[in-house]
Amino acid sequence: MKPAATHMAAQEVDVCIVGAGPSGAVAARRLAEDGFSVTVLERGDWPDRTTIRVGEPDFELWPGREWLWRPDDRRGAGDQPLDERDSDVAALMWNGVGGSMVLFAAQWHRNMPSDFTLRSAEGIADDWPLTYEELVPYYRRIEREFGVSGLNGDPAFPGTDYPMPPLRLRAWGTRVARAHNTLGWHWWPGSNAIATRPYGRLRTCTDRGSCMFGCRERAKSSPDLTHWPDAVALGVRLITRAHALRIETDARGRASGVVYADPDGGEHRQRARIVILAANAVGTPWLLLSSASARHPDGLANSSGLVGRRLMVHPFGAVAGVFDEPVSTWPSPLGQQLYSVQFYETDEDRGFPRGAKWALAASRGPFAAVQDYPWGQADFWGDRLHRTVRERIERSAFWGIFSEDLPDERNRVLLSPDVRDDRGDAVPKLVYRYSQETERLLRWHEARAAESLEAAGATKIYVAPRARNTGWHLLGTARMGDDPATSVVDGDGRCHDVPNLYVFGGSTWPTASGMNPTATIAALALRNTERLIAARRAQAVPA
Amino acid sequence: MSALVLTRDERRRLARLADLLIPAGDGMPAASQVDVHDGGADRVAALLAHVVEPVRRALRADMTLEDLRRDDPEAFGALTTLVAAAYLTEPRVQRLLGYPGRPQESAGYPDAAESELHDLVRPVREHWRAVRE
Repeated sequence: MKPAATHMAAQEVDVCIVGAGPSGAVAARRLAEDGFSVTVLERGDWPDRTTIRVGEPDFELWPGREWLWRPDDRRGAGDQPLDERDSDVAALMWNGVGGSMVLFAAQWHRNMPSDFTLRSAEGIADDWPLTYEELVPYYRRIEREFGVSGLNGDPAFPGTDYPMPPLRLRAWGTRVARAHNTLGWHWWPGSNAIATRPYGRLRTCTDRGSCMFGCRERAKSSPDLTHWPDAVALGVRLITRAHALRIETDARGRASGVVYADPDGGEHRQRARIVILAANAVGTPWLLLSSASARHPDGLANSSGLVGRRLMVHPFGAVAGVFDEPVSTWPSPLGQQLYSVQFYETDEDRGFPRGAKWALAASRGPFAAVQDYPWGQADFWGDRLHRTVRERIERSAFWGIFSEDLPDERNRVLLSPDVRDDRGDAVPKLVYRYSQETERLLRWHEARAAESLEAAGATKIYVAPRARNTGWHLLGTARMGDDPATSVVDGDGRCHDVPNLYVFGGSTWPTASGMNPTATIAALALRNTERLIAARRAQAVPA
Repeated sequence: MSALVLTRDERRRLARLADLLIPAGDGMPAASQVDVHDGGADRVAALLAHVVEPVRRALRADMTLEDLRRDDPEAFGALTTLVAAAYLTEPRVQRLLGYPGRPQESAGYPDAAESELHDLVRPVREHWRAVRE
């Protein structure tokens, strides 16, 4: 049931941003530094770290409802239900100040230079309308803004300048590193958005490993720590529990503001001269499609018909190895110990394009040792149980495989035809299917990852079944490009159809890469904010 | 919060099945010796509501574990989840496993470690240069 009245906010602001995750945070702070008036609408609340349960014996079983990964499981203030019946992968996110960085594993990677030129270099998918080299200065600044630890000098990522040394390499990481040196395969100490020294508001990591269920120590970087306190101090008005419902346009077709609901269901209108959507690759297309009007019957900024289409999620594989002696993997963050891009680039002999990044991660605690993921469903009950649990918690590590996910217009976010939220609005519906190519890619990489672990001394190998709860990297539902007929926004994130409406975040990506996306999401937000500032007097009215 | 309301007979059956799944051995107690069938099961059921109904079904079925696994995999999965969760999150069991939980490690990342890392990555740089350049 919708309320009858919409309350007008008293003041028009220069910029209204929807979403307080990394893109919104970077943009808001940067705009405020240049004197813009900024209001940010965030569905959720600030994270409350006092509820993190990392010290409890049953932490593995129950990290607390606030820290679950699926909005439908969490049902927090900012969580809208999702219709995922037609998706092989569940969308994972955290809706609140800081966005999904609050729960991410903190693995930090730039995209590779080749990720920007797939069409021109390999004849597949699309090029980005910008290059790796253009982003390098922004990557560097962002790595300092967020506080990234890592070892500089990886030849695969030219120009890194991480401000902190990497997490310490443990015995199990060193084993795999030496094995790769013997095999002649790439590896490098993990780069993570985890502080290894006191850094701004971040404290030094204490290796508790609760990264993906909230960091009580405040060692893992997220915008609620690194950006929002500064942004608010600079005058940004951050409104939490403000559920953006639709973007409104004026008679000239320009965005005029955002209508949002407060927790009691009351509607408010925030007028703005510029609107930036930074609501991830599910929330952003949902909002554009929900903003349909007589003038824009297929949704706002959707003359290309591509709003919501080309959803990409980085299909995920995992291979675990059990070593022949204890390696004690549990004192470790869930960020990566090390990574490999040995098989990241296309090799035509493999029979599929592109590749994947591997991240070596710690095994978990005793309860995780008997889960289907990553261990499969082998029968270990009865007399074998104790031995199995011990060897998995004392002697194992696993490779996570983040695969390239080429765009397919059939994979998409749309408005659900039959599932509605508490307000009666259609919820986002995800349609996503693994392609046969993805399955071939993952199987090939799983076989190589098994070889890696065997070379490191693993005597047992477990290839994980495909897991549904792996949709962290939501990308590609409002793609950028130079041609308004085949893209939603231009290379600056500016909508072709609505020149004072911008989209920041992973939804603009034309291709997915095979990298953890936060570095590139944030670097793009910084670049595009500065280009917006430079061009702010040149807002044009569409013909 | 979901409650695992069970009869006395169902508790006894849960203890019997739990001990088949997790018997004593290798210096570890059997499931029933750490109250998996009683307080442990209640504790888990309160957190994992989705296991309650299939566990009840498993306890009411007159089947061996093998038959249950084959004929009602959902009930078998729920039963094993409940038993394993109650057992493996029990502090006494974790102590016997040598699992310390997630204590805070001493902080600090010594600079010396970085020079060792540079030695370890030298072959990576050389290999990459040989292959890519």
